[in-house]
Amino acid sequence: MVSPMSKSKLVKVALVFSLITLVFLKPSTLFARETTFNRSVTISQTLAAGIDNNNSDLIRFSLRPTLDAKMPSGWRAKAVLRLERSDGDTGLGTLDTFDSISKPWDINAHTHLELERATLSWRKRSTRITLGKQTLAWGVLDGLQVTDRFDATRKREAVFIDQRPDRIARWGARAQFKSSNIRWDIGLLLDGTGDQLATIGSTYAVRAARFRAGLDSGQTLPAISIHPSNEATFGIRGNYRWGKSDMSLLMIQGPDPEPVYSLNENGIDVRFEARTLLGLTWQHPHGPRVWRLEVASIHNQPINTQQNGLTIVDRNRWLAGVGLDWDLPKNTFLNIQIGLDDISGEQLFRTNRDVISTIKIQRGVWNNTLKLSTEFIGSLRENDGTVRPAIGWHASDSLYLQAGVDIVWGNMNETFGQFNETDRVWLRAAWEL
Amino acid sequence: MQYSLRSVIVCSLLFFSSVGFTNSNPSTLDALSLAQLVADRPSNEGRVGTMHFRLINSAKRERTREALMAHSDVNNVERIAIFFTQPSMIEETAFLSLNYDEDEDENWLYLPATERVRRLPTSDRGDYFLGTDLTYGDIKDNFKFNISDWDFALEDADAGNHQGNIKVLLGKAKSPEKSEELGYASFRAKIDTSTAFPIWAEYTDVDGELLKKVEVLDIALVGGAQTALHFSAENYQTGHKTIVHFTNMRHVPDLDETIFEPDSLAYGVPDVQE
Repeated sequence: MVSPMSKSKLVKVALVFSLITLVFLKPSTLFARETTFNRSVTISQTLAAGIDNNNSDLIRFSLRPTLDAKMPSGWRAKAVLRLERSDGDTGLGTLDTFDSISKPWDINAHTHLELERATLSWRKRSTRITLGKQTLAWGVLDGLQVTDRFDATRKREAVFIDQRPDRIARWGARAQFKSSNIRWDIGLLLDGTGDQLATIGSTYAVRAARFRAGLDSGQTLPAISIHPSNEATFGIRGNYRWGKSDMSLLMIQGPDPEPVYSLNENGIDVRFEARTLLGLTWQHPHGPRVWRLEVASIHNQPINTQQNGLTIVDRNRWLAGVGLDWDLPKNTFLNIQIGLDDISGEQLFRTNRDVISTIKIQRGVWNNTLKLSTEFIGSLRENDGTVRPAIGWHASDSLYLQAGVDIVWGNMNETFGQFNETDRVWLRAAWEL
Repeated sequence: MQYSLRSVIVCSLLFFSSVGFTNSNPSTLDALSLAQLVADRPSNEGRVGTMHFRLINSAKRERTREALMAHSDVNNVERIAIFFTQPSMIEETAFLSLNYDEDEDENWLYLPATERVRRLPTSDRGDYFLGTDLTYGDIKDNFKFNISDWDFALEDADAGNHQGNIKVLLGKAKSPEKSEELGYASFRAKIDTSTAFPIWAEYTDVDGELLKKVEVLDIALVGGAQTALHFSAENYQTGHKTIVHFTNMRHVPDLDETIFEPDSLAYGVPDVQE
């Protein structure tokens, strides 16, 4: 475990290392004529209207300029900014879960500016070293996070987004290389940013008591103080080809991006406590199908219990998920997944065992310029869930239009049912310039 | 996105359909010998080129794609890696296809939005690759006609289409089941016997209706092998057309094999050392 003091040292080491790297990178290399710069801008506009009420109305504008410099000898630098403005009750999420070195600039209550990515990388053959603000996407399932728990994620719209999880880049270093037929991926992130939560009172703020330390939606939350972790996150993954299958073993040690709560004199502290995850992934193709499996064990999962009103304890946690991709006739794609999340012990605010299922079917027509899809996400134990039909149209090489409906059912104390008043229709336009 | 990538694979394979010169005497070829001549066409070793796509619908609306493509054929494994560079919406998307002689093929995809390299299912041969006018079988067959799939015949000489090195080969699927598998009931192809390369082909669908044509518009000698540089596929029933041409295509005999590792897809467009 990395202490707050050693984290500070690690930051300094990383900065010095970056400095040395840049100093010894010959200017003639940095500014060589062979260096190519690529600039692009993504503009997106999302409009949503609540079906039951206007709570889920949303107008969100996003501007993402990207600068990508490809230099000789395998060097590459990339930076992405994200400017967002949101009107409506959905908002842009709290910034209090961000580490100070990663925190977006809240220009005002409705507008944020964030350095989304900033990396300097070097590559030679199978080896890549990446320094900077980055993500480490592990795991083989789609959206079901069993072993894919390195990155912090944005949860300001719960599961009602296009691409899950929506990762938050953090500062650190990563090395990828191959040795003896094992592909290694090692990451050290010095940035304690946790999952970004919806702002209290916003559309997708958690309402279920299981996510609010036992307080149900009718109870007013006391003063909340959020404390991003001071600890670093370290992870190592070895990936191996076994016949036609791909397997990986991995370990992640560091603060859990999911928060836990503790009482203080004035209210509640929100913390991101450390844990160690050991995991395994496996995927195997079989004709038009690919089977995927993930298992993770966390022996010291920090979790809230009702002991003494509100206590944080370490418990054993098992996560497992199995998924199937199936390429069906007529350009139809089916993805089915089921995930299990089991935590031992008594007096938890949540259930001991959650079983989540996802089904997505997608079909492309008109030479794939039009994409029809429907997604189901639900809890098989709580009988709540959401269904999300959508249609997407590639109007041109630079314009993609989408429309969809999010329908939610269940009761207020369930994982998805807590959002059962947020049924909405939405439109999204994305331009790439 | 998945389908757009497949379109690239289709085109890649067609692109890398290269041939050696043959010694056969065209005047003495029967149908099966001609089909065998095409089927036995040698493959290429390492090559790299920039691929340009035009996908044109019946209303003449056009989409374009540009990608760096690397190809290698070593130890009976054909490897194709495609790294998109344009337009911005699909930039950095990358696709890898590993085609084995005696085992199930592998497809891998890197989507920047997911930040993960994903293994894809293998599709049925008759499936259309959305975004293109070619089937997965077109990919596998690589401008060849599998001897076990078709009954062959030569077009009647009275039709006057056999001219010089150009012979007209006819194919009919061996069974209705095979037709379903291929997505085609029959084909009619003009074969250049000097290169063992079909330069033009028309296909009918499983109901026997005229479906599409494929034309090879330009072939060049690259690294000692003839390679298609420009070709098109047009679907008569939908009016959609796919046109592909290549620039800066070069022979790279010692192509870095790590380009064809799935994890490398996430590294971005590789620097190819020649």
